[in-house]
Order: sequence, then structure tokens, then C-alpha cells
Amino acid sequence: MLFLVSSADFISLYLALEAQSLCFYVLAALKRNSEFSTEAGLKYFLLGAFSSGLLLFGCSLIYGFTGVTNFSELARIFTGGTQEFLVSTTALPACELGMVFLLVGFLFKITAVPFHMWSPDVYEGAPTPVTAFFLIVPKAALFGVFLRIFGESFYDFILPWQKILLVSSLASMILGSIAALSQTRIKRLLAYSSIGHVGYLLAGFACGTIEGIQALLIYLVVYIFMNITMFAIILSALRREHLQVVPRLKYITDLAFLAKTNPVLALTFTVTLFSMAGIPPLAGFYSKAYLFFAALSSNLYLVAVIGVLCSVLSCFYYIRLVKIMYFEAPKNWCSFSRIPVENAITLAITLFFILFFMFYPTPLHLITHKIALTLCL
Amino acid sequence: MSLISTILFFPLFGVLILLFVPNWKTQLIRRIALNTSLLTFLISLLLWIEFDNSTARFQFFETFSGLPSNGTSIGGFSFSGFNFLFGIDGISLFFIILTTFLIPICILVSWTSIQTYVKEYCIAFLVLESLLIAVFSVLDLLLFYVFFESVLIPMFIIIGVWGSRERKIRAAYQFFLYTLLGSVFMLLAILLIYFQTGTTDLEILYCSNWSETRQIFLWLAFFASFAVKVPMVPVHIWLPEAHVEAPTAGSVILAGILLKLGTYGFLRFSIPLFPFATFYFTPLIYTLSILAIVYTSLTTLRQIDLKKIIAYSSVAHMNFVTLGLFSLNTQGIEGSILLMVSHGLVSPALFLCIGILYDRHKTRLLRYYAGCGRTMPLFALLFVFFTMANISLPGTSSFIGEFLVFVGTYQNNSFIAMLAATGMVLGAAYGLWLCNRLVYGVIKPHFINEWCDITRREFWMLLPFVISILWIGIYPEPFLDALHCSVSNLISHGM
Repeated sequence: MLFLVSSADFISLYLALEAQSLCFYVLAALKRNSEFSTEAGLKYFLLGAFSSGLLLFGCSLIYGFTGVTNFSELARIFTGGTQEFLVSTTALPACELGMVFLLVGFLFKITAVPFHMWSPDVYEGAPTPVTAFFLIVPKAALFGVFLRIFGESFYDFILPWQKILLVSSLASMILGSIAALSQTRIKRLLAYSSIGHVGYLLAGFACGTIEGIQALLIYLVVYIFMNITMFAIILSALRREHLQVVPRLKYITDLAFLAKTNPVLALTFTVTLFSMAGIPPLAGFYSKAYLFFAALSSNLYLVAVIGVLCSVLSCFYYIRLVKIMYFEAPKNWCSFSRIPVENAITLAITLFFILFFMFYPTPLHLITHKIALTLCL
Repeated sequence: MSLISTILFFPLFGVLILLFVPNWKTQLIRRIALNTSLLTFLISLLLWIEFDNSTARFQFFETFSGLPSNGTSIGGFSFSGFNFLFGIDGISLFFIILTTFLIPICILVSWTSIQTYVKEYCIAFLVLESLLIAVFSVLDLLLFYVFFESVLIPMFIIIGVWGSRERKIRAAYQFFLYTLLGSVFMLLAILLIYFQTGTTDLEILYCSNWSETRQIFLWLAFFASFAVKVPMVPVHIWLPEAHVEAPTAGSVILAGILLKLGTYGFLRFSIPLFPFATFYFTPLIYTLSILAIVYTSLTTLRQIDLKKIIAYSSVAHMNFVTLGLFSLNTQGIEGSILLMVSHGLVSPALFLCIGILYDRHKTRLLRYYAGCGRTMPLFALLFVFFTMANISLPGTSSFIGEFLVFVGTYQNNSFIAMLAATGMVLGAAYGLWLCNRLVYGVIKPHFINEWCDITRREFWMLLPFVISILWIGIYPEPFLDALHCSVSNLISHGM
């Protein structure tokens, strides 16, 4: 993963990505006894290999026409060329094609629409801690490296990639919020909601401005925190039923009466959900507000309008979880046991971040601003 | 600490104390909450006493830039160091006092009727009080949005948890989603304003200008948000639903304060920020208001649920308010502010009356009740008084408000004023008919055969309403004096 983020060359990028994916396939199929888990592993492997192939094809196209695999050299070629690497103008469309393949590979990996099909199955099938890992870590890493590639090497192709990213981002937002409405399993719901969040992230990416990238980074950080809280809760909600411990929540109806049995945990969950839905005083709202601001400042009015409408729509299913938690009676009585100390500490830290982000956002702003500046220069 | 921040933080201080009180000491919890809110009310009265009537500037300034923002306005976002800027003028003064006046009553009304989650209930109301005061006193556009939306969370919980019937979830949902759908457009507009001017400070924005087409778009975005709150006609569906399902105290807050957020928003933001668009859209507002007044008044006539009757009549009255606001002259705007205050007294009082009936007989359907005048004379007296105030009998506060609104509207558009006057007639019709069915008539002992007049607690709860309604109705000068400078400044600014 760290190799992936710090790679500056297509070869190291591809190798790091493959090595990372290999680990992921194994992780997804970790529970060998479960049909779901093996299915998830196989699906992930097939589609992951396919998308890696596309990525590699893009890399080789670019290498074939420019003879270069290094990002910064590529950037120099596209920004006018130097004496030794002068590319003929006929090669540019081919490079553009290569860029599109790269982009498709990227969208595959971060589960953006229309390349999202595998994600709900894989996320649901994989063991829960692994799902948490999948939702958070590879996305951050991929966004990191692709921000560099597209901000640095392919900045001159901004028109085509901006269009592709915009379409993908809008489609992800809409699909993420509509498809999640009818889900009954928690992990599937979270998978769809993460598709929606990816849509917002891509909208920031598509702005292609410093503000856009800064908003994306802030959103990414907040997204990571919210997802950690979410999964810490799901993992810690150990449930006793007929004297045996059922280790995790599976259906959203399992949440019923969490408010009665473990009010503090329920309150934490509620705050996280409201934050994910983007209700004001919480961190989720600010990240979304920055994103819309970035979209407006680069004249992407349509994205901003559809974005807010989708966020209202997504409110619906986040609030449904709150409703189930507080107002519905469970089918069979169960009691929750105490949550482990490690989870409690994790929850405390992330909840603190979500609640009090509004009072002191400056450090995050400074850091993201510096990153965005270095990326764009 | 200036006065305004004392009022802002005092309820939160009460919440802090409540957090350390064990759950089962319900009586103590109620007492602490009541005392906190009463003290807040007294401090807010101090605000009125120290208020300077002779200036239109914002008073009692308070800024919390507190945390070091080390000047991070390099490119990107400069709202990193938030400016918490608070201050009030004549327009917001009475809304703050109304808020602090209603919250103790909300806690008092549920003294015996709320038995589950008492601590959470008190905390929800105190947090709500703090948020509402913040909404009415904040002078920063983005923070206004933040507080405006934050109000949704405690209100959602109040309706959802302590609501009365099965449909309460649906009502809470409708309330939440309608309001959110409207206000996200306001968020976009605010971001656009920030993008253009580089600030969300209201006082600076008052001095800036926008092109005409942009004003129209921004105005529409703000309108989408405020119209849901008022509520204007196509988006009023959530209101009766939310009222019927909410607990009595929830209805009181909803009718008393939350509806005023919409009209306050028009007054504070739409009219002074976008004067051109305000002129441009005045016919739209007039049309929607008249539609709402006539349509909801007629709807009220055929309701059988007591709370729905008051809820629909609230819609009608709030649309009188918008009519007055957009008449854009001193009488109209002052009248509509006064009407807002008066509606903030009358309709909560009526909801309290209905809550009293509900506590006793557990139904709100009108057909079970009759002849309260003979069985509950004191209640009947108060109920008739409040109904008369609702149909704006001279001598009550609504009369002053509606009269001024009509004067203002008539100067602007006499035809509209005439149409609006039919609303008054219809108002009298449903008000009197409601009284007729509830207070008079033959007692129905096969439905209800135990009666109990209002208790001492309930009487002392309703008495402040009677006094203040009569006070505004007979001697409105202190209110108008405080309003005058701010309103005339608003008008001279816009024109």
C-alpha cells in the first residue's frame, strides 16, 4: 500500500497494485468455511484481475507511444516536450486512449459506477473486519496515487478525464443513494453508501482545482473516520441470543432496541449516521459543504444540485437505521454484552473527531491545502 | 460574557448539570430544567430592558473567534477560523424572548404526562432552546444554516420518541425530509454567495450587490428553504402531520417558534439581501399566500381532529405574515412581526388547551367532546378566549397584527387585501364553529363521563399567555417602539 502511494513510475505502480490486490483476494476469502466468503474472494479475484489487465493495457499503450513510464517525465512530454522526448501529434490520441484505460482501471478499483457491480457482493461476503479494511484503506491509497497521476502527468488531458469522472461521479451518487434504500443487510447497505461517498469524492476530483483536491482530501479524512466508527460499532455489538454469543450484526433489523440495551453505543451510532447523512454541526456536513463549494467555484452547478438532492435521499436510509434503533421492537429478545475496551477507545477518538471537527478544523485545512498545492504545481 | 452569550450558554449549563443527575430522580430533573429555563427567560427580559430602541444597528455584539486560526486564508477555504458572530436587533429581539418564554412552559406542560425518558426529554428541550436562540442571534450566513438545520435533530427526536401514535415515525420522517430538501438549496446558495464575496458575514453582505439574474436564483434557493418552514402552500403537508403526532410540548415549539424560522429568514435574508428579486417575486408570494389562506381555512372547516384544526389555522395565519412581509412598507412588516409574536402566543396556548383535554380523555377527535362549558367552566373560559384571539377579536394581540398587515397590503395591492380579508371571515367561521362544538352543546356521557377542570399547574401555565395576549392587544407600543428603527432601516436599505 505504501509502495502504491509513493510510486512514481507505471511499473512500480502496477507491481504495487498487483501485490496489494493479491493480498486482498486472500483476505476476502479468509473464512474458508463460508460460501459467501469464498464467493467474494473468487469474484474479487476475477474482476480485480480484469481491471488490472485494463490498467496494464493503458500503461503499455502510453509506454508504446511515448517510451516513458515515469510520471514526471510523462508530464514534461505532455506539457510541450523536451529536446530528447518529442512526441508527434498523432501519438496524443493514443495516449489519451491509454489514459482512459488507466481511468477505467482506477474506477474499477474504487467501485465507482458503472464499475461497481462486484463491490456489494464482495463487501458483504468478506469477514467484517476485512470489509472495514476494504472500504477504507485501498480507496485512500488509490485516490492518493491517482490524484498524482492525473494532477501531474495527465493534467493536459483534463477535458476528457473531467467528463468521464463527472459522469461516473453523478452516476455513483445517484445509484449509491437509490440502491441503498431497499437493502436489508447492514454490510450491503454500507457498501452502497460507500459507492455514494465515492461519487462525492470523484466530484471533488473532477473539479481539477486546488479547492477540489483539498475538498476531496478533507472528505476522505472525514469518510475514513466515519467508517471506522461505523465498523467499530458493528464489530463490537456482540449479541447474546439463546445463551450463545452471536458475534456480529447482519441485518439492519438486528439493531432494534440497541437504544435500550446499550444507549451509549446507540447514541454514538446515531451521531455517526447523522454525520454520514451530512446534518450540520457534525464533521460529515463540513466535508460535504467544502465539496459543494469546490464544485460551485469551478462552475459545476449540476453536480452540486444533484449532489445535494442525493444527500437528502441518502438521509432517508441513514435515518431509517436510527428509526429502527430507537423505535422498533426486536423480533426476539436479546441482550448486548459489554463492548471490548479497544473498540471503546477507537469509538471515543473517532466520535470526538466527528463531534468537534467544527470547532478547530484548521490543522486539517492547512495540511490538505499544502498537499493540494504540491499536487497542482 | 456579554448578555447574549449568557443566554446562549445558560441552557447548555443546565444540560451539563442534568447529565450528572441519576435517571430515576425525575422530579429533581424536571425542577432543574424548569429553573434553568425560567432563569434564561429572566435574563432574556434583561436583554429587552437594556435594548436601545433608537438605533437600527446590531446590539450586544459577541464574537467567538476564540481558537487561534493563525490566518489560514491562503487560497482555498478561509472559513477555517470560523467567526461565531452574534448580535441582535429589534427584529430578532422578540423571537428570542418568545423562545425563552415558551421553553419553561413546554417543560411544565409535560410535568405529569411524560413519564418515559424524562432526562432525555429535558435535555432535548434545553438544547433546542440554545439552538433556537443561536439561530435568531447569529450574524453569519453559514452558521445560520448550521443552526437552522441542527434544530431538526432534537425536533426529530421529540416527535419520534415522545409522539403519541403509530404514525409518529412517518410524521417525523416527513418533517425531517421536507425541511432538509428545502434547505439544501439554501446551502448551495450560501456557498455561491461565499464563493462570490469571500465572506458570510451578514453585515458585510448587506452592503454587497448581485446581478439581477443571480439575485433571482439565490432568492429562489432561499425561498425553497423558508417556504417549507413557513409553510407555503404546496409544501405544507408536513405540518398538520407533525403537529398531530408530536407531544403537546412539541406542538407548542413547532407552532410557536419553528414556523417563525421561515418568516424570520425571509425578513433577515431574502428581503434585504436581494431587493430586486424580492420585488420580482412579490406576485408569486402574494398568490401562494392567498391560496394558502383561503385553501387552508376551508380545509380547517372539515377537520375532525382538534390538533389538525389548530395546525391548519396556523398555516393560514403564517401566510398572513408572509403577505405582510412582502407588502414592503413599515406597517406591513411591523404588523407581520407582531402577528408572528401573537401567533407564537395564541396557537401554543390553543395546543396547550388541547393537550389538557388529551391528558384527561386520551382522544383528540372532536366528536367525543361536547358541552365543556358546563363540565369544565374555567377551561371553557380560557379556550373561548384563545379562540377569540385566534380569530383576531379587537383587544387581542392578533387584531393589532392583522390590522397592520391589512393596512400595509392595502397600500400595495387592494385586491389582494380584499381576498385576504375573506380569510378572516373563514377564520371566524371555523373558530366559532370549533367553540360551538367543543364548549356548548349537549354533554355526551356515553363517551366521556368523568370530568376534571384545569388544575393549578395548568392554570398558571395558561395565565401568562392571557396576560401577554391582552397586553399586546391593548398596549402594543413597547413592542412597536423596539421594532421601529430596525424595520425602517430594513425598508430604506432595500428600496
